Amino acid sequence: MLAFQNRGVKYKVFPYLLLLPSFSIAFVVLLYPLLNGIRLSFTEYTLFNPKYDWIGFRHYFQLFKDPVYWEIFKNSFVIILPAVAAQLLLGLSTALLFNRNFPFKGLFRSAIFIIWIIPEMVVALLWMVMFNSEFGILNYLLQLIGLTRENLTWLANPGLAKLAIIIVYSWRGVPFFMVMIIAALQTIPKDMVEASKIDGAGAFRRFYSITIPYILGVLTLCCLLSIVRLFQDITQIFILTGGGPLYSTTTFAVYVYQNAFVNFDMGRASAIGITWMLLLGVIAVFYVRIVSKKHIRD
Amino acid sequence: MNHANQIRSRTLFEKAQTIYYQKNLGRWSYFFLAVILGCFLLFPIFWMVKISFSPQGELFSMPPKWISDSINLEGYKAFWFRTTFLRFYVNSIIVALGTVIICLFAGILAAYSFSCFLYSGRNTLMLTTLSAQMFPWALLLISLYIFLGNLGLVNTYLGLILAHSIFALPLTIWIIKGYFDTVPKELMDAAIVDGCGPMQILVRIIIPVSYPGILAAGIYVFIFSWNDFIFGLTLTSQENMRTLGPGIAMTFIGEHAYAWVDMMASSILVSLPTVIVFLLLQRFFIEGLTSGAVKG
Repeated sequence: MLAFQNRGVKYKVFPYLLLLPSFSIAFVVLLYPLLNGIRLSFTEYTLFNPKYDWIGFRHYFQLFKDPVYWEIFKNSFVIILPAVAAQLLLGLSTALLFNRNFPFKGLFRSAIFIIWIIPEMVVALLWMVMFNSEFGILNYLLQLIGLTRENLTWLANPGLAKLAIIIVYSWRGVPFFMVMIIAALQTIPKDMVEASKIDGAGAFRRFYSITIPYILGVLTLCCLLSIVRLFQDITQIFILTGGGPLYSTTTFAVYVYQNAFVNFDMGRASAIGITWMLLLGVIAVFYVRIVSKKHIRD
Repeated sequence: MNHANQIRSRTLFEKAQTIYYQKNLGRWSYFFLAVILGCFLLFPIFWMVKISFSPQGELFSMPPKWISDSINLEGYKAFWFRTTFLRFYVNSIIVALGTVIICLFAGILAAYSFSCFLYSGRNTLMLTTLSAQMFPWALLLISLYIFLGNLGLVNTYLGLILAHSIFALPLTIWIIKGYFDTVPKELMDAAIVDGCGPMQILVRIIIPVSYPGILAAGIYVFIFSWNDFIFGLTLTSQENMRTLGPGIAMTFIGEHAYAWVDMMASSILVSLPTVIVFLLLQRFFIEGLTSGAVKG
């Protein structure tokens, strides 16, 4: 668009002034906390001894020697990657179904989207009831179909607790993948599908050669956004398991939060946060590259 | 001759009929697939609603009762009669509306700058906005907590509004920018020729034309702020400044015997505003959410 340039009208300062409100908020609430976080990670700052005493890389060395840190590192991926894969699979199949016409389609779509609209804290509370080991409906249903005989202690067993978090994450993410993929599916030209039908391409062939290439960009974007979002999540784990049992469901975000606001060890928490940020930075580079390819053309 | 025509038209008719039936059969088989999928996905929500209306002890009955014997509204009553919950509700409304106002004000101006002007550093600034989502929130929260504490902004609406704004702002800018990009150039050209200044063009032309995008962004910000748990939990320590999410969760999790019915009823009352806002304005919201990603 860029209408002003096309008319030869030049504004030198005005566009920067327009950015002032956003960037002043960003400075106070984003840039300063970020820089201060880097500084904190080199200090022994705690809530009870709030002094910036420089200790160099000691926190980092301690972290890399700490087996708990590496377990959290591993947990973050063991929980988040399967959850994103499940979101993708469920979201894609749901979207393919919703790409067809059937009665009450809009109603179904709105109902499913509610899963993504309700607060995370409600998601956690309602799954707490589902997973309950004494009266949880999930155990009852599993026994009904014969998958287990006794009541599983979902949130108290390290392996099952991980699975529980993965289930909650997957469930929560389906609607987002669904609407994004539906929107992408609608950009596939109809005549191309028709032409391939006439050429004798079967449903599978069409799916691999037309559908997938057309929506691949959106699929990647959704996965990246979802990975970033799940890395940020504290709420659902905090309420469901509190990170336990025995750190088995503690991810980076939960670990930082616990160190900072349960143990009040702000310095160490910041160091954990910085390592996590560097890790996410790699993902961010991919994300920015994909988005900038799409949006920046002028 | 006539006879042959009749036969041909009959076969054509039959063909059309089978195609029609096949198509309809397809429609209804997709419908049944959707019903199965819906039951599977929506079961947890159904169960939450069911528990919230059922008598206290029914939760523990085995096998579970799919439909309650009697309706029990105690959980909902408890929500309204515990005065702190009303206070949480008011706090949430103030914080959410404040965040929407700040985000829309800052977001519209920034989107206008990105969308309609060309200047050095524009692309870099745009990508910076985008990557702001990626910084670990938990890390930022530490220094934010210290910083707001030093300013005396812990336990204030302003502190929470600022925190919510920064995390909702990047996507707000991108949603609005997506709509500003599609405003017809001719409209703006005509206004420039007529001697309109840049602010007049924004207020008189661009905002009225792209109100669906602004609405979508507004809904997004509102839902983000309303649904927040962790910022509210960390940046408020006094109970009377708590917003709904942390307020409710901490009330129920702190108790020794879980009041499950009350908990589910409160959860529904917390979700209700966002669900209503979404259902009323979902067309704008979903369009705004997907337009940025799918375009181009």
